Amino acid sequence: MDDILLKRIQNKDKQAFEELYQRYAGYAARVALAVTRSQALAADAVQETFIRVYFNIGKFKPGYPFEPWLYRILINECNRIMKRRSRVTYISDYQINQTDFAFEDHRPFEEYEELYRAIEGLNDKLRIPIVLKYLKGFKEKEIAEILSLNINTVKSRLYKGRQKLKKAIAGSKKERNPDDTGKI
Amino acid sequence: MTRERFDKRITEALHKMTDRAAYEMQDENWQRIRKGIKEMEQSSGSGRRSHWNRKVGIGVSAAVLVLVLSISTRTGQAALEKIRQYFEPEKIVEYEVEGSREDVDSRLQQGEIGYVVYYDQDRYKVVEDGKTDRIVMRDPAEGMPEVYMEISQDADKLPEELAVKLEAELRKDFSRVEAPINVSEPLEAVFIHAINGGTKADDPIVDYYLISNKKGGTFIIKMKYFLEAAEGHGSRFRSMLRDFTILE
Repeated sequence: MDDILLKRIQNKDKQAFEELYQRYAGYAARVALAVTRSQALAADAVQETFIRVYFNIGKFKPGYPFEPWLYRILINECNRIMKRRSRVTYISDYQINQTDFAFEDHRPFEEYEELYRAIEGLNDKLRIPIVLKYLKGFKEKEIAEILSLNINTVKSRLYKGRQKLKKAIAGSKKERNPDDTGKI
Repeated sequence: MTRERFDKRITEALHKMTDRAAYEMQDENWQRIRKGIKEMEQSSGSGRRSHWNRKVGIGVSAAVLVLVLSISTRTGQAALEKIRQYFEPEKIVEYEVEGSREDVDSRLQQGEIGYVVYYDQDRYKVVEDGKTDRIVMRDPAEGMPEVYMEISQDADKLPEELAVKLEAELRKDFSRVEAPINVSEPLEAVFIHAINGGTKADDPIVDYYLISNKKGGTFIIKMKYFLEAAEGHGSRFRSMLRDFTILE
């Protein structure tokens, strides 16, 4: 985020804040969705996050990268909301018009769905670093900063997460095709 | 499949499966955020912070609760055990760190010197030696400056007397030592703050909170961290102190 926009938001300029929202909300919503596994909870987390950003922007240190700060707030809000609400996954949360993809991608949609379900099946400790790395593209050092973890812990969780995903995908391939060697 | 191809497929799956929902949420979220900000600004002259503080107040005690009972008799010890049972072994404590709210899984620490406190069990552990308890990082990064919160007791000196002694000691090692003051947040105490340097990320900081034990002595809380960690570990330690309770 540039310093001028930051200054404007610190001065409670609502238009500047909307610019910030438009710039960062898309990925924030995706990450919140992949972390909470519910559109309703993700919406709550994103709303709370941006409200906190608005009221706490004075605590953001100019010159530092904005996104790790934003995502630290977002992940904390996701965790807080997940802890406080019962885990209910609404099928409608993930209803996607499959025909949208039929023309643009040769890979069967089912494969993506399978992999996404496997990501959802990871526990929070493994899923959150995976989402931050592969969906948002954060570097390991940034993930360590966002989650207040040692970088080696992040590396280890990413490794374990990937291994579990590989196993899960190999397992479901084998289920569909018992002759499959399971190699992916 | 190579690592690169598998990584790419994870990224594609995450993007494709979140595309539509993220798009659908965008406008409605913005309307609710605007409404939320407006309500917060209108709800109090001092804005959102006081609103949140009220919510936080439900979850955490804002001051030291002194439980008066004697531990020198068998009855007293039984009563102490009852009081200890009153404290849940684990609970969720709300922290505010760098502008962000966190619900932290916290574990009860019952110090042999007569206090209880809840600490963030994911990040810290307690090292005890019978007289002094230290809450230290569970998983410190290599080369990271020292970070801890230490709890001890001086049975013979009042907080004000100890403050004079500690301030003099700090002046030997720290370039800036603030004169002791009385504070009410995160608890009622005499507070001393010292920093050496003040420009580099790893410049050390020591904070003392000196709390009367109501018997002529003082509970000494010493926090050691560094400049870069002031809003991180410093805030976490202060959040823990909100639940600090003396068993007198």
